[in-house]
Amino acid sequence: MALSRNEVIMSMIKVNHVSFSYPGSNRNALKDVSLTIHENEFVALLGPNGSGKSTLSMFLNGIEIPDQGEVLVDGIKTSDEMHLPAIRRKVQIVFQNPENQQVGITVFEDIAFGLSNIGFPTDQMEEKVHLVLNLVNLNVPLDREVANLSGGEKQKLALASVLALEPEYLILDESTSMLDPFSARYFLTALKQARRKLSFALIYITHHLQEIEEADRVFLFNDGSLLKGCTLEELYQDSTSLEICKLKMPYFRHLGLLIKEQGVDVLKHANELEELGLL
Amino acid sequence: MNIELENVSFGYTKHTTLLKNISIRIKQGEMIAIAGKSGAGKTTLTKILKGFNLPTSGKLLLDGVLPVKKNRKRFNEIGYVFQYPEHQLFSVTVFKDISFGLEQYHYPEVKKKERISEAMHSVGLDFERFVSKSPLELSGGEKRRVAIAGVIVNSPSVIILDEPSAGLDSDARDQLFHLLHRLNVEKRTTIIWVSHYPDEIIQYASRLLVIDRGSILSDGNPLDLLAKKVLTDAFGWSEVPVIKTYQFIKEKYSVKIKEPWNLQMVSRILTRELKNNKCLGKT
Ligand SMILES: Nc1ncnc2c1ncn2[C@@H]1O[C@H](COP(=O)(O)OP(=O)(O)OP(=O)(O)O)[C@@H](O)[C@H]1O
Ligand SMILES: [Mg+2]
Repeated sequence: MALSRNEVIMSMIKVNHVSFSYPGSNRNALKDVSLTIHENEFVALLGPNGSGKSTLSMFLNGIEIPDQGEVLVDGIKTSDEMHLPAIRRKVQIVFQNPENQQVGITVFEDIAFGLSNIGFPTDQMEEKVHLVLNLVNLNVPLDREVANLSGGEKQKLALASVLALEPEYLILDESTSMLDPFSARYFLTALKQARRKLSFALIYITHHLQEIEEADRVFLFNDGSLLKGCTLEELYQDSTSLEICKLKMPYFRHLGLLIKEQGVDVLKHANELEELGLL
Repeated sequence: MNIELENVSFGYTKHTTLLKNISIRIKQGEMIAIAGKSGAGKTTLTKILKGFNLPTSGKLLLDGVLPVKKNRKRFNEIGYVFQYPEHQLFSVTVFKDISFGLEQYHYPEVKKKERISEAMHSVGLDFERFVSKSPLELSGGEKRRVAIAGVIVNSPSVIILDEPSAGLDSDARDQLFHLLHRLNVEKRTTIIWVSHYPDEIIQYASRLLVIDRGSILSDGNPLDLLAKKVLTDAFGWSEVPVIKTYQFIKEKYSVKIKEPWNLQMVSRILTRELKNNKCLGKT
């Protein structure tokens, strides 16, 4: 039987009017939030400390189920217990503190744990582990104890572990916050490559706009409410939102604006500015 | 307090050396940033300074004295903010957490409350809203602020912070560094912090230690060090916009910008140089 027009199931995460307060708290951590994230899209969740970004992310893969409102992943409600395991597999999350999700004693075990849970063939395990470690540029022996990794290495490992599961939606909660600039750049490049190879939607939480220059859309949060969803370009034009969300314009973009204001003809100096990396 | 490391090496097991032959002197009142790649040994080094890790070989001296036996107490003068705030938040409420170190002084309640409210204010946490909450039931950035407040409140003479800006929004970062800078200037508090942010290093540190694979790769004035492309290439900082811009303007126009983080200043100089050097082609 053919599906009628509005029955066609779209690949997307849909958040409808979700409100939430943590048990025992009299404030709403989320207030009537509605948004849609499409397949393969790169979106960023932005907002000051405590604005509800991490809280929302836990609703997207069914760690939390809303009392008020609903979340649908590819058309299925997260409250549908029968489908919850499938949803959790599709939507993977790397927590703000990677220590909260490290399960294995060694690097190998940590990655293999998730893989064995989804019935990944044992004889291909080692190859897969190497593959994802390369993807995130984590060069440590497979038998290294997770507890003895540095903070940045733990972040890379957490990313490798979820990439191994080939999610359709990947949520990264401040995953570069403990990486040095080199590793952070590498991480973002690796992520871009992984997205090209594996094509998944990326939901990226950060306080640093220079990390999301390729985002399709951004969602701005303040005090549990979604202020607006817009493109990065629109955000840059909107100094009020930048201020509310405690965001700084990326260095080169800001510098570019300032020299234009001071009468520099950017095209005329394209050579130098390109060399600088500003164009 | 002056801290001295003489030929310090450290490893958790016999076969792994995380720090190799480190010798440094840190004088009271310095403001020092520690940088280096993930896994280079930055956290390990700060833990040696605080006395959490004991050198496997070499010596650590506090004001010239080995901190053994009753001298170990001197480590208490050093405040330490962990890389993960969860590692230091364990009380039932934010109030109890921040007041933890104050208990030994038997302050009257009013005085204690005053100090805690002051410390919370200095990191941008609303007293009424957060004071009775559980420190574990907070957002990432809020947890970090509590962890910092819990150290600041004790007015230690040395404060070590392991990646304190991670997870803070831009206001909180600015506020934190104003605070650290003020403590450094007004009380001569030694500030030592691990950082991945070149802009905050150039702006606030008077000295930069670059750690690479367990050794000190360089030690000196941040701007002088970061002007060297060989060095920034070596640990992957050359592409960071503030550094790239600083090096570019220095190379191309022989101008050393005093405050490369200050975009008003940078844009004025860049504009001036671009206009003056119209005919310069690609070099
Ligand atoms: N486990 C919890 N129990 C109770 N309240 C919580 C809990 N976790 C977070 N909160 C509160 O919910 C609100 C939203 O927090 P959330 O962690 O979603 O913020 P965030 O936007 O991720 O912030 P950050 O940038 O600091 O990580 C905050 O007011 C916070 O204090
Ligand atoms: Mg968060």
